[in-house]
Amino acid sequence: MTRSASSSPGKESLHDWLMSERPHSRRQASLGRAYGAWRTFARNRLAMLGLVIVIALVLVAVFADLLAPYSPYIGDLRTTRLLPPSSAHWFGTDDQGRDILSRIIHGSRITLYVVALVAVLAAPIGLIVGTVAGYAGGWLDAALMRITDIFLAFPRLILALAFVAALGPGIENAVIAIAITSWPPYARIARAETLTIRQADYIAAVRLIGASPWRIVLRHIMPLCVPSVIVRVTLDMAGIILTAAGLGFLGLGAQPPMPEWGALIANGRLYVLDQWWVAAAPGAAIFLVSLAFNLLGDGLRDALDPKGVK
Amino acid sequence: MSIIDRALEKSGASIKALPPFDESLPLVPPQPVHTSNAAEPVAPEPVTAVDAAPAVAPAVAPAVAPAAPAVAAPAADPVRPNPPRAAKAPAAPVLIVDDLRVSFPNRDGGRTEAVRGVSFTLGRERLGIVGESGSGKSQTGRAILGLTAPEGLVTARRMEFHGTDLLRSSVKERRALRGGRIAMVLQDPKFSLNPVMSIGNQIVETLRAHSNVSAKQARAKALAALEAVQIDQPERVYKLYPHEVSGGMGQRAMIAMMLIADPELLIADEPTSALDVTVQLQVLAILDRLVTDRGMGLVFISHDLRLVSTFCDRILVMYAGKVVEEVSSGALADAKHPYTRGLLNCLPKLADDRHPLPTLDRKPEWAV
Amino acid sequence: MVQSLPAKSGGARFVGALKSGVNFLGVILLTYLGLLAVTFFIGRVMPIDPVLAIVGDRAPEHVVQRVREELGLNKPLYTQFYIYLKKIATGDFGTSVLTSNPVMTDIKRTFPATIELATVGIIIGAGLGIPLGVWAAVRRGGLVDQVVRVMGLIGYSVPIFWLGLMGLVLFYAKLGWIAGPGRIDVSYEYSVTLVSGFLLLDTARQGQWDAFRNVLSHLILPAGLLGYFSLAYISRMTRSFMLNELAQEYVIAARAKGLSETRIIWRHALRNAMVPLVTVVALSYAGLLEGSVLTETVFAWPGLGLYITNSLQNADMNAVLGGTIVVGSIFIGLNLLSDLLYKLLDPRTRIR
Repeated sequence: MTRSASSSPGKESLHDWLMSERPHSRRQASLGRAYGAWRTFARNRLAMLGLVIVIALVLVAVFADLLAPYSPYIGDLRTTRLLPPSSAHWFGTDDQGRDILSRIIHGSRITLYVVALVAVLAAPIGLIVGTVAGYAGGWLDAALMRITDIFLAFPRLILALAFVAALGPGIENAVIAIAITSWPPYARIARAETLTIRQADYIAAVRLIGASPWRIVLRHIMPLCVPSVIVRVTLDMAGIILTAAGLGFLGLGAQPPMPEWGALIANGRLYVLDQWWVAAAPGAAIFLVSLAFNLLGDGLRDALDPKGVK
Repeated sequence: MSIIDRALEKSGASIKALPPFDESLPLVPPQPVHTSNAAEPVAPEPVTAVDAAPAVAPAVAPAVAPAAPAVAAPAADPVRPNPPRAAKAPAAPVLIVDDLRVSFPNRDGGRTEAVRGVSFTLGRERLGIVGESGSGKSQTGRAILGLTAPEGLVTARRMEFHGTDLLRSSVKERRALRGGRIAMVLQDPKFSLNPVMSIGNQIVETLRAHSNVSAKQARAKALAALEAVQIDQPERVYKLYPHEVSGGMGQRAMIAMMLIADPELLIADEPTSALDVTVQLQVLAILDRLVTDRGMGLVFISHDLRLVSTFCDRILVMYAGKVVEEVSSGALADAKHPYTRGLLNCLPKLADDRHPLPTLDRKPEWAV
Repeated sequence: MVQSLPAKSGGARFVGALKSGVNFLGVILLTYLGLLAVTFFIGRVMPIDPVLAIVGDRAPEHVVQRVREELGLNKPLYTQFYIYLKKIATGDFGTSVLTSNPVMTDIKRTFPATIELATVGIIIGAGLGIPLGVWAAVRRGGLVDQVVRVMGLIGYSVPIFWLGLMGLVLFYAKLGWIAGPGRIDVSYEYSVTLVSGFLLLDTARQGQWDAFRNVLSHLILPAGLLGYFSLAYISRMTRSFMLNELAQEYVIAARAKGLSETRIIWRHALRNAMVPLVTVVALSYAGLLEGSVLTETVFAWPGLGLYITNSLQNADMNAVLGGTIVVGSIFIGLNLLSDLLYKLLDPRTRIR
């Protein structure tokens, strides 16, 4: 795309340039659209809160070593066992004398790891299956959709459970198990979008030029499906975090001494009736992060797909 | 010379001598309709380009009817075989609306007025309200009935139905009026009939909301109502669901449903706009007969100027929330306001040879 | 004027219904097959050699071979799958390594507890959730609306097992308002004869009101928890559906008829909203069953979920897979049932 000489940003403000009704280049148009979506999103205060928390999560995970006041793995069984929350230990200590706050901070890495990995695994699978099914039509579409529907009907947690039970506990297995049951909704969404898009004239034009179906699907159709899939992935994040925590609670996720949040709760369960704080804080952390993703996802959906009923 | 001209020359005629094609002729032969004398025109003041001055409206209303049955009746109008006759003694107006305003909150926090000071009076006659989408005609109808959306604000200097002050009535009183004394027929039966209830049950529901009849009596009356709108097998249709009948039948069922409690005023909001042209005329004929038989007042809201002019006695032309012209349908050709003239101009006439076809050139001052 | 209604011959209608029925059955079959294939695959993928799990690693070679023959592990994979399918069809899920009972017996014993819990939960969830959702939609922007939105948000974000734990701490340990984990106190446990497996019904029928109260006291927190989760979902969906319906033209027409607002809400709008709502309730119930795995662990509720997790801890694959198949089947069944219900309830898509 040739970029014609647009008026320099000095003459008009950046805002005007982005919101201009006559963009001079494709980049200006797409940036402008993104800017418009961002403004709608930013007006939603709860969504901004969600975004802030998610960013905070990322930062905490990255700087865990710096932020955690104590070691998450080593505790003093003699002096610091099962201490209630205090100024020295904000969330108290667990049965092995470890500071719970530090464990939660380090556990954020695992949470982020799981979330990112599941998204990276499940979303592309769903996208590909959905766009191929939508574009190809015919028996391929029917077959792929049958498979999708079958997977859609499976109970996510139970199947992940059985899977991890077979493969053995561990965080990677948990991720695979969750990803395998998470991709169907994305395939459905991608297919629905593809069915609409493929009627468009520009697809016909590209086909006339001689583009192969793969090229059409990959370069033209898939990018347009990405926003809806992103919204859905974000909304699913909370469920994925909860499922992963559930698996960890049952001892099937990250193994000790890794401070995965679900496992922390399982740990605290043994003492919960008297030393409730051991289980309280990790659960609150899970709640906060899931809530953040839910708010973020709601905000994204409203910004990118305004025709929904509030 | 075109082929047609040559052919006509041979036969000794010419295009210009042919009578104008009467497009109001339906494609099915007209049904025999009772002659009735219910129509009493309120004094038509032909050609008043109504400005914002509200004083005009009350002046129009109770004035005694002048002499002429002013309408130069077109030959054999099958939809309205009986154009309004000479005025009888003026009856009390059925509906008085004075300076009606309806506003809604808009995106920027302010309010947008959808209806800006509409005034008219209605007797036992047919009033047509014509306008394009967004002119506020539907909102006017709904405001009269009290069906404006809750975020809307309805104000008026006067809004009276048979002497009852609609503005000061309680919610209960207004609800009793709706369906019982004022009825509304909506546009698309696909959407305005409840999809999970049978047609018969919906009709019975209206009746039982307004009078104390037993289930058996209600059913009998509902069947009679279905017959009155010329539905062939009322028992069968009674049990059907709205999606199982055609558009025309659904609309007739809706008419039956709304008229079963014998209201005195009917507000028809684009009653035929969702129907095929052939079906339109059938439904209109039914509507015409029912309104005439029962002596109801009718407010006919539409975007179709030609349809309204053949169906109604008086026409209100609305633009941007205001009434820009009030004219009797016979005197439509002499309308003064440029918007009305523009609309008339746009109506295609087969005998015309106009290139390019005229379009409406909206002037901002009409919306002031 | 004659308006002829489209007449479908009885034969054509029957064929149409048959086609839909066959299609539906096909979908069910395929889905169940898929589930069984997945569980079969999981069972075979186990790193633990099932033979060694039975005979131990010290057994002589010929014993290992014989057990291998018995288990059919020498046969090709699809034959094994076929045998597997036959077994499942007869309800033979194998033997539990832990209890030495046939897995089916264990499942039959533990199943009613889960159903009882989930059913009470859904009654709370739907019984409160639907009216709340209607109220939230009718008084849009009001207090109930905000509450429903917040509750929904919390319900989607909080881990159910954690909330259960905190609930136990608060209502059992600190306040002592309810009984603790388990289904019934040990002191009552042996005085109740299990007839249906549903303790509420059994104790009530036998007139043992003390035991009944005890059972209720145990049931209330876990059922309330499940009820909350389904309520969060159901009320939100109800609100959404009701808002949709209340914006429809037929509601305006109903008002124009002069009907009372109450009638319009309940007999017109809700009746239409019920169509997708029934599927929502069915799906929510399925979700409660799935979540039972976690809830029962927290409350030591002797149901199918606890059975699965216990078996998990003990590497009892037969039991785990058996339980998975049962829960999975019900889950799938409810999913498909909800699709069917949707088609049946909406008169527009009903097979005529």
